[in-house]
Amino acid sequence: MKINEQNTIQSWHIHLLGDHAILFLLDEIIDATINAEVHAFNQFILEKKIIAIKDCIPSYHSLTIVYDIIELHKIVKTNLHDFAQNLLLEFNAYKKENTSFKLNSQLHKIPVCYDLHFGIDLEKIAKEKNTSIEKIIEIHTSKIYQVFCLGFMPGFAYMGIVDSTIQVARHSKPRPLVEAGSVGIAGAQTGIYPKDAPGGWQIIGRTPLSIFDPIKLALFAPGDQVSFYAISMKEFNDIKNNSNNVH
Amino acid sequence: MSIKIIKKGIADSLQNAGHYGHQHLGIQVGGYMDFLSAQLANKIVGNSLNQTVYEIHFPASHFEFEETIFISITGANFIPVLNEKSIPMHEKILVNKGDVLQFLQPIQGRIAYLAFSTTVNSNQVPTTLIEEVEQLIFNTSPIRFIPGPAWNELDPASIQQLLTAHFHTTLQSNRMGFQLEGPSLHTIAQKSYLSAGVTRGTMQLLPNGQIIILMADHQTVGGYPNLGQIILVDLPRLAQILHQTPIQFRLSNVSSAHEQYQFIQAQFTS
Repeated sequence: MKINEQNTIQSWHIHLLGDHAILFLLDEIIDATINAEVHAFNQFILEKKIIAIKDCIPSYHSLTIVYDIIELHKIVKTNLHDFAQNLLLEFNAYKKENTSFKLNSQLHKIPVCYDLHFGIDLEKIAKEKNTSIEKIIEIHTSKIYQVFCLGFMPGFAYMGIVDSTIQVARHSKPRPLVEAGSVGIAGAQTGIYPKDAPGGWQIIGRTPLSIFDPIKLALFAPGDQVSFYAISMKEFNDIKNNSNNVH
Repeated sequence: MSIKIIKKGIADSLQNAGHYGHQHLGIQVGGYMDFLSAQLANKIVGNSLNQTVYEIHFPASHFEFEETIFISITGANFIPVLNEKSIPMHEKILVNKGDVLQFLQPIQGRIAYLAFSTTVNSNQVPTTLIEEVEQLIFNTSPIRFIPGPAWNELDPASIQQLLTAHFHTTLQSNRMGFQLEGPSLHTIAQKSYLSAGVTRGTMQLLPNGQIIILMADHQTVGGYPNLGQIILVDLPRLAQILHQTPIQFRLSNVSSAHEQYQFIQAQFTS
């Protein structure tokens, strides 16, 4: 199923995901524009406040909506595929009419201590990339990253795109423990571990901020923008000790 | 209302219908593994269908009641006894302060549900509904699924095997997912997928050719090939299947799955 219309750069595919979800798919690549389209569609659906839709899960190139079967049948009289296709048509029409359509997106500036005590893979990456640790930090902090999606564990944000000059593969064997706040890179992606967990990303630093909290939930939302800035070990400890963490 | 656990079971927990609305933040839904038995337990004691219940595995906890309440037990039969005297399942039972509930032996199924309430007046649950639920959670016909986005990536021999061979759950099965053992399945081409949303019942193909079926506490997104999803009314049956019990799969479709879900839910709400 493709919806190709003028003014729409993307063509969506629709998959009915079992009997209680619908998957909307774009091209299978990590790309900021494609991902922005996902967040725009997500926002459009959320704003419609359809009671039957229990969850909307964006990923790099897809949006999954989870629905309540009983509630959905109150509003869908034709078949489900038509319902899904109509959502896309309405979305495209809406975008045409509202040229000022803007994503609700927050910019987060995240302090990161790139001290080797935290950035346990920095030396190895510098060697592999034939560059200096300072240069890696400079490159990592020079970009604004997009939160493509959250997953893996509560609050874990997949962000990108990491500059190709410092892209490295994840560890072939995951570490049994990566500490909370650890900032990692893996391929085109960067991310922060919200809590202690096993993980295979290459660790380059650590943030003193709380990324996930059971009450306030996740610091980042899908579609948000994130930049990193370097701090010293002293600043790291100061922020860490100050219980009024920015969240 | 208070219930004391005087001896902790191996994997008992309090569960409700799950927390939707946060999966975009990577927060799992959770909730009942077998929603049919949980809803039935609630209906029997006069609760609303989605109340919190104890989800009980064997060896089960020993419960002591600290006040007079009503309870009901559904799902797996672990031979429930109250003060060492046998009590029936699927019935509203009055328990008094100091009464002790224990489960002696697993006879059928994997998960029992214990609902509790102080409601005196509740309508008799029709025997037909109890039988309907038992039929849905314990019948031995193939588990039904709807093909997923990667279904067509499977090679024809693997499709044939998935639809005919016997699989069984392994010990690597828990509330997050059931890892199956069966013939090794293969895709036509080695293709890597970007992570996308998954649901409960999603059948993922692992790199070793085996299937994992996502259950109540599953992650929100996944990057393994998505072969299909088990239909909702068959998930409780899968949840109740014991290790080493052979499982077969059969194709279903959305409209038939919806009809069956609506049919059983209509009986619960009537």
